[in-house]
Amino acid sequence: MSQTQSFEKKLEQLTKVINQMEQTDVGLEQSLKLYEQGIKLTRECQKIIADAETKIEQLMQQADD
Amino acid sequence: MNTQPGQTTQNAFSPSALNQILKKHLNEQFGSFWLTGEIFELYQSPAGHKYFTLKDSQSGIKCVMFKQKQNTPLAKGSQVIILGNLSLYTPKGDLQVNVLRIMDAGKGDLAQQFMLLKQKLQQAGLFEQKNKQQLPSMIGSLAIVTSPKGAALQDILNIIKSQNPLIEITLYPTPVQGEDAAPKINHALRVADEANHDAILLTRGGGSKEDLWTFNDEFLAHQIAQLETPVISAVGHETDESISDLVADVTCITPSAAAQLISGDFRQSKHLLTQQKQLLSLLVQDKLRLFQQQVDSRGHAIEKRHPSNLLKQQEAALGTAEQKLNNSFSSKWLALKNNYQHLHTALINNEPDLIIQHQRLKQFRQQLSNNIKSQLSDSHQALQLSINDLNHQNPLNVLARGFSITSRKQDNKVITDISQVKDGDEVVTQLKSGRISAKIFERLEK
Repeated sequence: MSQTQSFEKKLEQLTKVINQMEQTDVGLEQSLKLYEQGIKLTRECQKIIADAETKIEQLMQQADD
Repeated sequence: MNTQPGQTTQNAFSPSALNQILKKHLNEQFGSFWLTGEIFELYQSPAGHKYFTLKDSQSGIKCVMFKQKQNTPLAKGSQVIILGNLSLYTPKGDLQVNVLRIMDAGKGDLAQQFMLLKQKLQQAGLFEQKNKQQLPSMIGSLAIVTSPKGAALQDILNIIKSQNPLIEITLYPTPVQGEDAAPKINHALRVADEANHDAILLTRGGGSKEDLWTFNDEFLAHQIAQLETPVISAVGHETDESISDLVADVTCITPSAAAQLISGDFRQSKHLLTQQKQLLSLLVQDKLRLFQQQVDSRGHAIEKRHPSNLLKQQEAALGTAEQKLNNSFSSKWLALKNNYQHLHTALINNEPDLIIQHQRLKQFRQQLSNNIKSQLSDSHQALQLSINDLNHQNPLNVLARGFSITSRKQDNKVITDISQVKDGDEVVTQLKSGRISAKIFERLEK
């Protein structure tokens, strides 16, 4: 799976998590679980972006050499 | 009955009608096109119009070039490339090419080659939309076939980095100009194609016509058409047209435009991520507050029901009850006490003087005793007197003195009156020594 695909997928999952959290009948434990999951997905998304930026940076340096 | 013109003998075309229809059709069916060939049978009218036949080894077609501002000298036998459209010279029904532009093929070698190749490939169907592949909606993995030294690559990488850094880029370096560039590009494309990327970007920045000529290679065109991976071609600047652009699945006018296209709407996704992150925090805080509130309200409820509180309440109730009891008891007690006091006082007040009573009683008893004694003595005396009296009164004593008592025999009743008896009644007369019985013989009144 490409980074873009996994990013999109994670973003989709994040949206699902948020939709679930917006339900009124979600309990505290479940809410915390969802929040944890959401934060994890957010971090993963951000990491994918950061990694990708680094990779491009490297690619640009290679091209310059 | 109306029929289509030319379909029946009654409705036959006239030559002019047919020519008009042909002319119309020709104009509609063919736009302008490039045509190349050798000039033959050239004639220039005094008005400056030029008529010639353009032919190749087998065939020819009449051309007319009306007087233009830029007078291009034409020579019989020269190779030219013309841009024109088909028209019909109706007075004679001659088909001719109306020349709009003409170029010397000898002078514009590259242009001519380009035109020829374009025509050839067009006929082969390489530019047809139906043969082109669609770009995937999301490009995750991109092959870039270009020179690592070129400015195009830097532009592309900069744009992708800022717009969508997630795209995994693989560079397939190749020279993009020079005589040996085309086969190297071909090779790079093949290698890239085998790596199964989502798309291949074939690009180079702007340059001279000669610099860009590499991308007008016939073999390269076929190669691009055959690739399994969708190809984006972005060669040169906006004004440059290349065979590679024409044959590629997607064409972008510049490398930067290609990078923008490839990046897609990732910015939106990134923005969405930020929004979702904030929303997530808000939601969880909201949830926590909600639960906190619920816990608080329940805690409060529980506290209210805590045994010690209940105990306190009960204690208080007990206290109140006790108080009430005390109050009612003490008031009752007080009342009783008062009553008692009252009674007691009354009792004390009403207490008879026992001693006096006792003395009185004694007196009474004395008196009684005295009375009884005197009465007794009186009675005794009276009795004595009575006895004496009685002794005096005893009839026996009277009898002794000669008196008798006569009573009726039948009922022993003492006769004191003569009425008590009648003649014949038997009577008994008591005497001192005994009794005698007699019969009434006669009653004598006094």
